[in-house]
Amino acid sequence: MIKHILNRAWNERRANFWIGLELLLISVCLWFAVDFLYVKIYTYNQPLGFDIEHTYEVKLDSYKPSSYLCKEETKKQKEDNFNLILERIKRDATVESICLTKSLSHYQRWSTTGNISFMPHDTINKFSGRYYTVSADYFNVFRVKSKSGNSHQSLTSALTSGGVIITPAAEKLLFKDKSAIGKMLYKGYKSSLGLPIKGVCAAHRFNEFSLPLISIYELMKPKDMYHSSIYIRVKPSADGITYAHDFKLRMREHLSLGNTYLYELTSIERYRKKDIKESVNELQTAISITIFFLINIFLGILGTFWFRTRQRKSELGLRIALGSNRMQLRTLLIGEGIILLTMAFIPSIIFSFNIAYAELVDVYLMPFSGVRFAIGLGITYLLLAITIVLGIWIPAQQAIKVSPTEALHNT
Amino acid sequence: MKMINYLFRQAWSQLKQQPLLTVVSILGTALTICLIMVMVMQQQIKVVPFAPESNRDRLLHIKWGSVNSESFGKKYVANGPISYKTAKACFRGLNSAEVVSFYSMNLSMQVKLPLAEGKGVDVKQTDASFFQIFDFVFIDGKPFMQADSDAGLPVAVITESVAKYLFDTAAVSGRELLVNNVPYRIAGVVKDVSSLASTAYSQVWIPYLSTQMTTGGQFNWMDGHLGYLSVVILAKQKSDFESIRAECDRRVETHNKSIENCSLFFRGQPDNQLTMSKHTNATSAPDMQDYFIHQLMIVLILLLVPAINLSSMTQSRLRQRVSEIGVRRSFGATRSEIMGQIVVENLVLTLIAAFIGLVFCFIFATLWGDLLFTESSMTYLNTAPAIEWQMLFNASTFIYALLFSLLLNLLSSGFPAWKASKIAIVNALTGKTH
Repeated sequence: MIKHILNRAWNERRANFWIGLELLLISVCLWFAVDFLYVKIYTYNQPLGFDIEHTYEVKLDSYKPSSYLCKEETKKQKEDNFNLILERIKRDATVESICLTKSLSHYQRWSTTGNISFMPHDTINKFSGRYYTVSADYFNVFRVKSKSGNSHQSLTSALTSGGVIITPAAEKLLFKDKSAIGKMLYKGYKSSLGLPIKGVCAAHRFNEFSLPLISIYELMKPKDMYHSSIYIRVKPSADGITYAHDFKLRMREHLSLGNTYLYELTSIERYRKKDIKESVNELQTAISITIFFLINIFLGILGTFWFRTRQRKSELGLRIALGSNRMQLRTLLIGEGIILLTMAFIPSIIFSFNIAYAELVDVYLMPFSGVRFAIGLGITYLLLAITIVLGIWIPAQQAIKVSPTEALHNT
Repeated sequence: MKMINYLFRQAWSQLKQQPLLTVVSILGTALTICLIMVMVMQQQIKVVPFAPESNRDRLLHIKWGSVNSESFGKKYVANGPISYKTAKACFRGLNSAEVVSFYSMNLSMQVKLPLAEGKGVDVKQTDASFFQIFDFVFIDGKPFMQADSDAGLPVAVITESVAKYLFDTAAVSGRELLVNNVPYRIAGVVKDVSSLASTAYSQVWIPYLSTQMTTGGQFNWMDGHLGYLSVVILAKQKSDFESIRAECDRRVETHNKSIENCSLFFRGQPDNQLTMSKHTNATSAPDMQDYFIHQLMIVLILLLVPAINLSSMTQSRLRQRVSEIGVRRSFGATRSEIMGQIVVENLVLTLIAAFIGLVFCFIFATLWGDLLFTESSMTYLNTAPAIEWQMLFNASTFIYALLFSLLLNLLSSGFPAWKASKIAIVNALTGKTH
């Protein structure tokens, strides 16, 4: 059967040229789009390392001297007020836990980076990492697990016992495949101050479209508290669309102490939406272009085979007269389409490989590998094959309905 | 004229004979036109003038500055918006420009009335010249005066929806509101601004001299060279761009001589509107040539795929019609007439498709426009439409669509038509294609 179809395809090579050329071009373009989508969707589905469901950022502000509400306030008073505000938020019945962070704000683009190393005074083996300063409850609020999958408690106690916690990416960079726990870490340029590593947390990423970060977590010192971000986790039963609004109404009076007042309560989900918007747009563009290619192939195949089966009515009639059943005829026609695709697809692999080899594809999120290439090609081939079967089905159905006598008579 | 009319009638009846194929070709082409139009629109939305950015083609922008610095024996570069000091020294009062204005990036601030619930809205800090460059639609009152902004008086221009949120009415000029708990007098109320007007957009505008923006430590860094401000320049006409750029360069050079240990540079800025829209990163200038080549490649591929498709179908159609072509030739039709007929046939097809494609594009943008075109913003209260339709569906959009479809037509019908016209008459009459 296959040999027969191959012979036919060769005999029809002139007629097949255009559709073959289109298939070749679309195979390459579609592979490119599929590869892009595969990398993005794969990255998107990797664990984030934290959970933002039911979490909010509490923003405080203070009256500026130009405001008529501004009062005289000593530094001590200001700090006492800040502590009291934290205490009042914590005691609220809807709030499950609260934490403070410095230069760590999920889905917001600021951070402090610096050098980290595994040796003191080391200016050669130093790597760039993010410094995060968090209060002990951070791991609880954002549900950060340890690398081995233990709950946040182990990290919390590791942090409060005076050590630092690093991410797996930092561990790998500094200590290769060995465990980092119990080792020392040196921070900054030419630093001599060693920090004991007490824990490794689960891989942490900036957002759904980024790679695991190299970062270290340190316990926040009391003096840093007053210039930090405040995050809360709300009890699931109390959370809802109107939660932020209700919270503000309810707490406005309680959280207005001295010059400090509650400015805004924002769900982290809002920051997330804004942050990943551009990447999501890119994804949607890639999907619509993929669909565009598929529709084009569908229409092209439909059009080409429409004519072809008409011209071949008598041939098909003859086949029925000689004992082919309708099922076999359909298989023949669809087989022709698939062979055509395969013959166009094989040279397209060479083009695709060259594009990939020249690193015109995304190699930042995922290195180019044989497996990735095979998966991309496999999905592309499958999509095209399905489209072609659909495109041939309609004209094939029409053509094989014909009665053999009528078809033969036509010649 | 009669001839053309005849050609079109003939083409139409030909297309009617093959309804399925015609529909398939039209749909494929319409889809292409639609996709390319969406791309063109995404591009145009950044450069087409619309209120309040009606002068986009006369604007020059300096969004970011960079400082080359040497301290602790190490060289480094800092990038970001510039400070008031730098803006004043390098760009204020350019002789070759009509107006120069400075503006801050939008900061979220709380607006409220005394004892009432507040709301965080976008606040832009600027000067009176800003309202000369951008033609905001004033519903009530007027922009703040040069004297007000120079003196740093607490005056504000607010949008209609902010006014309605606070006062339940838009006629509120002269009244007071609190911006971050500082009282401001409302000078005027403007219609809401689409966030696609990326430079003009905000919800409240106040003078930068009325806050700590120009003096406060947290707003100024790198020895006060960098800060929170950007610069927009309105040229008298487009041809002045070069002289304005030259004057800016001279001013920056002079300024650099007066400062120590570091020097300022602006990475190719002032930018025009299009370059500015791509200049999203303070640390590098956009490679516009690369960008154009990229766009061109995408459009070409998008055109090539359906062109091959149409070619293939035209070819199939012609195979059925070789004997017709033979008859025509033997009755005296020239090759160019045969070619012309086939091209016109395809032209009718692509024109119909272009029209349907435009309709698709319109439907598409209406349904999903927000998703495609809006800049993500965190703001509450803004009711301005994401896209102003009239600004996208203008004559130039239609001309683009027509141009693309003509190109598509030539790509797809040229070759089959040429081949068909070359068949020998005898062969054609007997139905042989070669």
